[in-house]
Amino acid sequence: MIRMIPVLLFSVLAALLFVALIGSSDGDVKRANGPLIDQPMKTLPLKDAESADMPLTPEDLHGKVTLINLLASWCAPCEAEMGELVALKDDAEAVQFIGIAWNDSPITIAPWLKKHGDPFDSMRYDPGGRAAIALGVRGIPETYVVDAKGTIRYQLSGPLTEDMRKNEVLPLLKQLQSEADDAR
Amino acid sequence: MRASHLFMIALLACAPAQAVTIEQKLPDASQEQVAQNAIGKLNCVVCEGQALADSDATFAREMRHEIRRMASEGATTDDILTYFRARYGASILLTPPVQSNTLILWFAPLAMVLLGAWILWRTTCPRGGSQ
Amino acid sequence: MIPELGQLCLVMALLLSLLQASVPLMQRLCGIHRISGLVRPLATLVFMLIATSFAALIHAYAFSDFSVLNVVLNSHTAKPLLYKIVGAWGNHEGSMLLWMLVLAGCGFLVAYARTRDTVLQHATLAVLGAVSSGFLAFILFTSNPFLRVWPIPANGEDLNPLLQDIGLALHPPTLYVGYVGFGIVFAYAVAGMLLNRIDREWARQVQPWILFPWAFLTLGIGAGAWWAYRELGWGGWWFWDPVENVSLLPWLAGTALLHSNLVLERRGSLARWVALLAILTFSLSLIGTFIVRSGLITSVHAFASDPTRGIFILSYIVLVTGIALFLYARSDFGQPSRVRLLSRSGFILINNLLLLAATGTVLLSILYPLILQLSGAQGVSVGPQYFNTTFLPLAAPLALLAAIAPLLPWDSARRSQLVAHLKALCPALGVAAIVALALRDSAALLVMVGVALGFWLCWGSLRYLHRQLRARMLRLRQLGSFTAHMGLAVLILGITFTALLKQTYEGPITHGVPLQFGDFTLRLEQVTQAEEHNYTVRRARFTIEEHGRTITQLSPELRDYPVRGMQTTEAALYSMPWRDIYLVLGESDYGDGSALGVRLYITPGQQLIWFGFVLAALGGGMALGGILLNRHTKEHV
Repeated sequence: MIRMIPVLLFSVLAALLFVALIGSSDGDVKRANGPLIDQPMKTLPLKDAESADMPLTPEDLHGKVTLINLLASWCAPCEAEMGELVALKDDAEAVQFIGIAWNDSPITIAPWLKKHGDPFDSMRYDPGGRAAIALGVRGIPETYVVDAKGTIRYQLSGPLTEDMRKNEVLPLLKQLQSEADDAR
Repeated sequence: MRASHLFMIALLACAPAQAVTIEQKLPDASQEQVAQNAIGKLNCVVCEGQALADSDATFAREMRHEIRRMASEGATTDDILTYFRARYGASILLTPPVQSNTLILWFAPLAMVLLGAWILWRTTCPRGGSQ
Repeated sequence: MIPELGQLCLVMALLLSLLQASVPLMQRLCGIHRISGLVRPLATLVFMLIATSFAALIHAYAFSDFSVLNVVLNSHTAKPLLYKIVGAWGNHEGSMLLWMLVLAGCGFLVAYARTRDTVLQHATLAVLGAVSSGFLAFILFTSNPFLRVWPIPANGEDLNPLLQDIGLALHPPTLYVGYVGFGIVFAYAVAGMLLNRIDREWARQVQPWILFPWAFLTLGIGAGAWWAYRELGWGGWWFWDPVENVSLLPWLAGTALLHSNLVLERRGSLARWVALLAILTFSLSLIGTFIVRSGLITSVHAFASDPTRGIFILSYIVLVTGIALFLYARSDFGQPSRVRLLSRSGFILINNLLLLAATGTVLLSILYPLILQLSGAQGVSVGPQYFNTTFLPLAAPLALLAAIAPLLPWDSARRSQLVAHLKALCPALGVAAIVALALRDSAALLVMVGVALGFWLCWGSLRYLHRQLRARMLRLRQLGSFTAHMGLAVLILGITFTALLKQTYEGPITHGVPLQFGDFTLRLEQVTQAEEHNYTVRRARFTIEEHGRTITQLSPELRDYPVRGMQTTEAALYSMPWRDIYLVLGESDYGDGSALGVRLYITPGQQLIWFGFVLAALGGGMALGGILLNRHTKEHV
């Protein structure tokens, strides 16, 4: 019986590797259990188009459901998801869309938005990456959904696909919006 | 890197032997030491498997810059590590923290040796007698 | 045309390997005893076909045949010819073909080794045929290097400039001989279990096939570390990167196998254990390859990954290892003979215990983050500090054992003998204490431990050499054992010094302003710009002085590869016998950011590390040579 131990151990290992392999080929990373979920959004140090300080404070977020999207004009997947973001904004008018340009400048962003569509109510700039670090960003594009109380409820790493927009983000936005309306 | 989401930063800057940037140190030596300690304990988030101290990715440089800024405002090494860990999770630490779900990782080597020693003992002197 | 030839050869090799694998079955069904002899010419043919296929791939690279997809993705007309050819195996498909070439080559050697035990030889070749078929199928269906592309592009996409280095020409082939070579002893083990023949004679047959891949694997790991040291610009040589760890796994298990097989050869014990180790070592080679190529682990080392390939390799591994382990469970190895702990055999068992615990630790460090990720918890990273705390304490006692074990009798030693040996080695501790006190460094205690281990093993090995010389029993094989253990001792000393006594300095540098780094003065002489083959370079010439006396001039570079959009740094290295000066040029963000910056590493004892690897591999080679010479003379007596 002892001699069967190597085979059994190996089977466990093989099963683990198979599961890991199948799991890893699963599409994009959403971090529904990321470290920031259900944490309150703190002030983000950002700049406006004139390079003056324009931090994003909890007051700016209070009372409205907010979607924050980090992007850059030199980032191809960001370009790819703009169409989805525009469609999302159309379906969720009441949600506040805030864009954060990471390591990019207004000179390039403005025409880029004009070309690819601009769903943002406000566009801010993060030239040194401080806000990105404060948000625990690992790369762009990255999208966050914050509820009306200022708590981060959702974090998406990677471009927003049509499927995700329709089945996850839009329902979430609607749900949070009705929570906000009820609270008033 | 999964094909479905390309993190542009990673592709461009994560190769080894990438260009090195010699960064300005903080004027206060003890603050610089705090920053160096923190940098030495963190992972580069965009280049998997690379330490923050060794990565020249843009984001890594920004992280080091931010760490130095925090140190210059009086943060301790622990403050900085806590700040980053709260935002990125335990995986940003270069060494796995000793917590409930990493106990196996930390104690397995010893456990393996003890198990092996027991097996060895049983097979070399089954009656437990001395030689 | 030629790529098609290459592909055709692969297909034919697959068919012939399948045939080779089924010969024993056919023999049983048809009852013709002569058929078993077929395996030898089949193995030869398979080797010739694979060699032709590989030659076809090299041809496509050498002549920049951009109709072949693999060449397009991994080559460029601007590359020097040497690197075009080397690029053939610098990518996944080409490297798998190289794997196959080594496997077929080893199969050929097995077929033509002169042996009395032809039954075992034929059975082994049949098993090898099965192993080869699976691998060839993997290549043909998921990693075909001969796929064509249309329309034919004008030029290729440049190979990663880092891989244009002579170290790259040496590192993968050497490593692959190691990984794949263990497949031979695996096949012998499976054949031996099927024939119920794992005994002293089997061990004698197999020992060269353990030493051969072991020596190459040692050399391959060392070559990789040497390449990383020269290329990566961090002054380090081992990063506990998953791909490096993956090469360590079969090395650790292979070292355990190497020693246990000696016990089987000399004393006839541990047959069951040796069989298990033989299966384990090759499985670790395969699993390691799988982990790296399936995209399960990303690291700075990783090749382009693909889950379909991952599923194929994994299924292959499960089949090969699973069947072998199942066979192991059902095989009868005869009566196990008692091994006493206080003896050379016993010390080898302890050695195996430590090596396998170390293997388990490294494997866990690779798998555990995956497990956590799967369970949905937040991941963790396993960095160098983890290994310093867990791996080193496991590996260190090996040096303690190795200094004494060769001097003990195989079967049983008296306690008084052990005590005598321990006493004789005490001077090593004295030396260590002296060295540590002389250094007066903050890390003195650890330095003392490292030096003590290194000198303990050195002294013990020299005592062994002395004893063998006195008894006139020093043949090449014993000399090999001595050399390999000395290699380990030297490596331990090298690791101690480089890890604990390394100095790092960095700062901005401008013309006319010398930089003072400890005892060294750096002067920037000149900065030049130039255009090379496929990159532009900024070269800075420095003079380095120590205590006012000029030691050397170094010219580190910053290179810009336009096609790849990459910038790399080429460190300049000055090696002195007892330490290295490593200079890295970088851009500095001091001032307005246009200045240059420089980083200087002084690593004492760096040469000991390379010397240690070479000695260890040489020792293995000498032992191998000793065995082969012995066989040769025996046959001609």
